[in-house]
Amino acid sequence: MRLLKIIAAVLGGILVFAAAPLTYEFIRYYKSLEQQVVTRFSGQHWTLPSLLYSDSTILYPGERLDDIGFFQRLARLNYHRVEPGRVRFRGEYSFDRARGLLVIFLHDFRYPYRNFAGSLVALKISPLQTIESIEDVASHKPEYSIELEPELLGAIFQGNWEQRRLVPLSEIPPAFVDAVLAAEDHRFYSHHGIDLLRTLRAAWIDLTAHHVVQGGSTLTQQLMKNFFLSSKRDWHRKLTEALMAYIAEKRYSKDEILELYLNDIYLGQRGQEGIYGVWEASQFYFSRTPRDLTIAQMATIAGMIRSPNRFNPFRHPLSAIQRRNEVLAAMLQDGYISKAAYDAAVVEPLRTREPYTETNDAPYFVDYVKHELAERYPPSVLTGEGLRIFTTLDVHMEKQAERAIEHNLRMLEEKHPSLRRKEKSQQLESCLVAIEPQTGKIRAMDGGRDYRQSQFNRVTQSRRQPGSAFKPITYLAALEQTFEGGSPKFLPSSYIDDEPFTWRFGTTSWTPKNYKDRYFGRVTLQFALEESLNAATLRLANAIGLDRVLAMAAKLGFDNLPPYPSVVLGGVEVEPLKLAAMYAILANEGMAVPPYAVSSVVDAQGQVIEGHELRADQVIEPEVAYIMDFMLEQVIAHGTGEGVRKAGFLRPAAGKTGTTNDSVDAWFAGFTPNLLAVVWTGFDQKEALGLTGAEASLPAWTEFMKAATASRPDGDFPVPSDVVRLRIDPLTGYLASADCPVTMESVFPKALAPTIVCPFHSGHKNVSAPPTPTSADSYIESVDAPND
Amino acid sequence: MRSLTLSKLAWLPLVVLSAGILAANSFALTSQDVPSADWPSRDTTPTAATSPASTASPMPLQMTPQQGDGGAAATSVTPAADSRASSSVENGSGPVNAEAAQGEGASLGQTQSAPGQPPPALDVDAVTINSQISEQSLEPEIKKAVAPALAASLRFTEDARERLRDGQIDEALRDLARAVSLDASNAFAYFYLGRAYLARKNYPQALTFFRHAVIGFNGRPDWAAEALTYQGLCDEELGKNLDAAQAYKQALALSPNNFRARVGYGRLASVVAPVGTIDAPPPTADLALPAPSGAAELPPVEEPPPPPP
Repeated sequence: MRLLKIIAAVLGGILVFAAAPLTYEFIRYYKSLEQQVVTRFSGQHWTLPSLLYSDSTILYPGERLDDIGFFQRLARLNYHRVEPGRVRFRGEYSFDRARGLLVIFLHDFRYPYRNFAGSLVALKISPLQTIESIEDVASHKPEYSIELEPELLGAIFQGNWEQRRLVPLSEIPPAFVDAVLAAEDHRFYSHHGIDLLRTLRAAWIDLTAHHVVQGGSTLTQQLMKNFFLSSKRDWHRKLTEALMAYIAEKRYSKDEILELYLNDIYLGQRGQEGIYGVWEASQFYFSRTPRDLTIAQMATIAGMIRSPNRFNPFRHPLSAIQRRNEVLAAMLQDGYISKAAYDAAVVEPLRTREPYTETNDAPYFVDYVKHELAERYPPSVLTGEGLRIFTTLDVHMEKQAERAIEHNLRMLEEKHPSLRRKEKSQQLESCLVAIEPQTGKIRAMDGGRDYRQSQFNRVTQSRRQPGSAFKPITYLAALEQTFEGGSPKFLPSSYIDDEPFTWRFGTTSWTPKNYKDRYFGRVTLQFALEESLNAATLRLANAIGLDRVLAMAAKLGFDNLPPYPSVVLGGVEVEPLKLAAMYAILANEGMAVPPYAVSSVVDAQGQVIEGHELRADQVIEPEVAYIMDFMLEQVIAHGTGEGVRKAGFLRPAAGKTGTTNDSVDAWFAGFTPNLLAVVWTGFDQKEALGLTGAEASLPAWTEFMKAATASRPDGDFPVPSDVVRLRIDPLTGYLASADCPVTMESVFPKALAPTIVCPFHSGHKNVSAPPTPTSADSYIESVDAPND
Repeated sequence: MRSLTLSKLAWLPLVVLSAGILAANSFALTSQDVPSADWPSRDTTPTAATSPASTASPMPLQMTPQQGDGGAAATSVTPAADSRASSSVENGSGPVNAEAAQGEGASLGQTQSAPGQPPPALDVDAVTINSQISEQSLEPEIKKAVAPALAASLRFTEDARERLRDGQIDEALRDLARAVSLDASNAFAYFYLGRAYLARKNYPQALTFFRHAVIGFNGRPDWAAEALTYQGLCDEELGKNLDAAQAYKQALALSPNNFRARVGYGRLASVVAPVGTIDAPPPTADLALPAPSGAAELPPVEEPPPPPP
């Protein structure tokens, strides 16, 4: 007996001795898990990607729906069309064409400086699709305009794009919570993180069914797994998960756990964007907020938690309905819904929204924005802190730009088989950028033909020679000299010789030729620009001095150009975006408003941390800019850009072609009073194109502008009060008489404007024959002789 | 990681040591135990995120008038020069808009005074001293607007005008940017952009927009005069008194009853230079080429540039 006691004591001692370190390790382990749980619950729960949005769209009476791609916008914004009279929830709209009544329940949206609560608006639409009036349905008050929220363009993220909108539990309807509990953990409020009974039952059911029918994990365990653990199935992971669930339940309330869970669960995929949380899922599958879902729709989403792909209502509607009905049955069994509600819900059609037909991505623009932001924010902030970045892009215009570029390239290759290339990386390329000159907003940016093939953004990353598209700088410099009182004075009606010209500098000389080696003798400046005459332009630059040309280029954004005369004819490489910025100054009466893409950045708490204000710098006198605009209007009216008019674009517009040596680069830069676009076409490998800017880029510009300006006001360029438009006799410089054989419209500063009607062609007997700087015949002939 | 490895062993005596859990509970962590520096911050205004706000074009966070370009509290724009003008002329108030009534439909050429002549005299009988034209609602302009885009743009401009009146400069600027975006031909938007920057005492920027507004108001002498008057105020603030006097003079030529212009002109006439100097032709007049003046004269054909060397 004594021996037994000794043995027991020894064994006890050994047990205690052995257990002590294990107990110590366990406690340490427990504490480490606890720290992980506390840290996760107390801190930021997820890394939130930064979201990039387009600009919003203002709708106002008088606008035509087709002109702004209205219904495509609604589709991209996740609006769901229902029958007239059945619009009940945010994100739904109906259009009764016969009555001309469009009713939209606008989404809620958090704009940079205000939160908008979605409301029901009714738009009266004319048979020609024009908005006649807008009314707020609730108050019956007319609205002068409404704002369609910005479109999501993309996200900046690390690893996977987990798209989720965090919502507090109070914003999730109790019925939705019931559906989730019925589907996943109906004893949630009675267990302590681990439901042993359910685990054993699930294991038994799975065993007898020979496949996984029922999950055994509680919501808390699922949350712990998602937060901390892999999906590997082994006993250690399961036990750790259970212990963490136990810790979480001890430290946090059921509602806190539930809220995290409902915001955390994975519920499907949209391209590279993962749909997480019940709010995103409600939007994605039903175009509604959770509070607007029906019981059946809540049950559908709750049923997807187990397998978002297998029960995806878009791809597997029958499975989704079957699973939904299982959830509804569980809800009935648990007493969450009545029999009547159950009976109504199980026969409800799925009623998901229409699948997306049009994407709203603008990959080159998004890349550009990311690059811009990366200069100001560290990667961890951009990819993890849930910034919302509002940009200037108009998705409708972007789509028009992509279509115009693709269509034009296809047409060029069909018309000129020599332009086709077998290798995709060698194929003909083009790019387009569109800017609102008065605000600097970049409205569209198509950096190439196919983003999947080449991510090289030709708008911002390529440097190509602009050729004749650079010539306006010289003419501007000449006009500025006139306005500054310099000498000699030049106006559009001034004459200059278009004969072969040699520019000598240092020990070398340069004699560029005109297009097709054609020269026109004595011509007006206006004609020289219209026909893009190299010799005349170079002679003009020589007359005013290269320094003045370079100074003007610097004002227009091109600093530190090499002091060579080749600059005059665009023999220097520039980025298309910078060329667009230069033309934007002309379109904006000489005011420089730098192009920009990011209008505001908002943090996850809704604070605006970066905004943008409209500022401008008058870099050219408005009178000089206006005269330049007028000259560029003539380029389109009857110069190298007349293809614009022939293609049916009839709005007031100004522009300039550009073609470099051997036709390697083909450009068209042009603008209406409120939109500017620049198109470049060529090969990345700088092969000869054999086409002028008018042939290769102008068609894309025209096609784009026809669509993009359809909804814009069609006013003319504003005329400064010190400038006057007159019709003159170009041969004499006097005001045109009815008898003058050739007349032209031109622009003058008031102080320099002719005031006398041409005496040579108006019956004055004592007047000798007019001077003939160039013959009328050659002038008229020259109009039809394109040069570039 | 070490504890994770060891944890596999620790599971074995789980049942035996369940009491250990209880013990552990007794010294469980509190949130204060977790070092805050290790926590992922929920404050998403990190140093890196705030720095860009101070760079180039983006405006600072939550700009207040004091933080802005100098910002006066600015009810309806009362910079220093403005108040000087107001104090000397505003001796009453009334709804009459004599300038507008007179200016409607008048052309620029009809109202301009000859170079070197003083501006037209004030027609005292025609005026009951009133608030400025730009302090009044744009509703009549909105009703007159034929183009839908212009009407929509003017609505935003009117909102901005009211915000400016209430001292909400940042909000006004946002509305005005939107107005310009909707219809760039809306000169009123540029005028109030000028007013907004004037309220911030950013005179160069205000001047740019007022000048632009003058172009847009071509054919609207009452408003062109108003913009010119504010242009003159900015010029004065920038010390360019000659330009200011010129702007006031042009304003008076367009709208003789514009009080601010008249007061500004009078102020500069007495302070800057003798009247004769101010009334002299503008410096730009020497730009003028001799225009063709007789039938027998040769036309003003430019000399060709010199031949190349």
